[in-house]
Amino acid sequence: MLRCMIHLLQKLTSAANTLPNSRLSAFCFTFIIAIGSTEAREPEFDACASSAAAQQVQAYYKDVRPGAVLPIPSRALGLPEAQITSGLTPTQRILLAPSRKTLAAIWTTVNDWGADTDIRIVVSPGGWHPFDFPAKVPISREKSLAPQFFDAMTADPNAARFHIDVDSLSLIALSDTPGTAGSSTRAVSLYDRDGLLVVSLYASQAGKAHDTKAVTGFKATWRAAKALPKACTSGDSR
Amino acid sequence: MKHSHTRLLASVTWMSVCAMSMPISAETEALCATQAQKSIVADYYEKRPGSPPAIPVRRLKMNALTLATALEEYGTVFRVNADDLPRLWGTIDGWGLDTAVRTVFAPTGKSVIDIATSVPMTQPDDGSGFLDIYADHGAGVHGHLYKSKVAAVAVLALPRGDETSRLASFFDEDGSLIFAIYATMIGKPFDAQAIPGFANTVEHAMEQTRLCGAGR
Repeated sequence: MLRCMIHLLQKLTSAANTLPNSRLSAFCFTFIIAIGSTEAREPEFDACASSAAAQQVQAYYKDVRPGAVLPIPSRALGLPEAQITSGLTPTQRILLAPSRKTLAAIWTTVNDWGADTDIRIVVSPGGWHPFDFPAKVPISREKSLAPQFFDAMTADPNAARFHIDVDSLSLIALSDTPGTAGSSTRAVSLYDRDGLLVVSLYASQAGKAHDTKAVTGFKATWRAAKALPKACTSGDSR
Repeated sequence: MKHSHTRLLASVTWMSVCAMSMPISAETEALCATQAQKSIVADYYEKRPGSPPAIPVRRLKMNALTLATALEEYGTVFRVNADDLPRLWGTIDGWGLDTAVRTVFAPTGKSVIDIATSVPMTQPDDGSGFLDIYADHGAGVHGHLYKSKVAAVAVLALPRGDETSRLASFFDEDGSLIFAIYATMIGKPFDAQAIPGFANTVEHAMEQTRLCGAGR
């Protein structure tokens, strides 16, 4: 890159501009623009909701759809799902800074929900296409398919397999939003660097039947999460 | 979740309105693999035949749709719109209500979520803009494909020795994988009922307009 910069500087300051190395010029210019655009790209998406976004989220949950599963307000409000979770009231969510250690710590408690416990796995590619699977709890694996992955799979290894790229995560979130008639929606959710959902494990969804073992387990996960490194600790919605 | 979508669409956001009015763009066609990319992919599959595409997408750092278009010797990649998608999924319904399949999601192109299910079957169109697909008479997965956000589909049969992975992959306008449904996956148990159904999906796919021209 330095060679390119020197070369371009020479070219730009050359009065003659005879283009003896025009192809190199073009290459270098393109290269520097590309590098420059990489370096100057927009700041990494902020998974933490602004105070304005948090107000929207909280109003939605209070007045429109108490206990809604998270992809619904995400599309309704036009906000990436990470900002929905982070915009919940502080009593309704715990936001964790992603790391392999934190993910492993959380998933150890998820393992304790029980391999035979019924949960729901939710994905929502691009934030537009939600899929909600009934499933058993995916149990974390000591060895992963590749070094960048954190792996989990159900007791029946052919039922559900996760290979989660830890470096692609921007937020690990727990949420517990009240629905109607004493029901609640409880989820552990992982978000990517665009604030999009990677995957959620729902221990319960308001208004739907759930496995009490999952809810008991989720409460233990919630307690454990309180001791882990937090995300969104400063600024608007923190 | 379906009911909630109906309510959601009652208050369509500007994002939805924009999305529904978007044509399948030249931007999507621009994702067609170049000869150089085809060579890279061919080399990869020569060494690792039958690989689920999510793996080379990650390893080659290639757009998921671009990679699929480099695999057309194994099937076809075609554009779809909101009207086409239900017809295509109708052929997947034909794989069989109780037929076991696999669904693969690849968030960010880096993580992989692979979940077995019975075939998600088309539900009556409620006008919400979603193609609702539910398995096991509603007791299984509830999937919702936002029709106008599905730009292209690849139907591929990727062989390795005596085995073959048979899949239909769905892509958005920027070529990201929405998800793939596997009738068979190499190395995994599969339901033989899916194979003749998949052949019908291939037949349907071959009649559609290919995304990429022959000249690329």
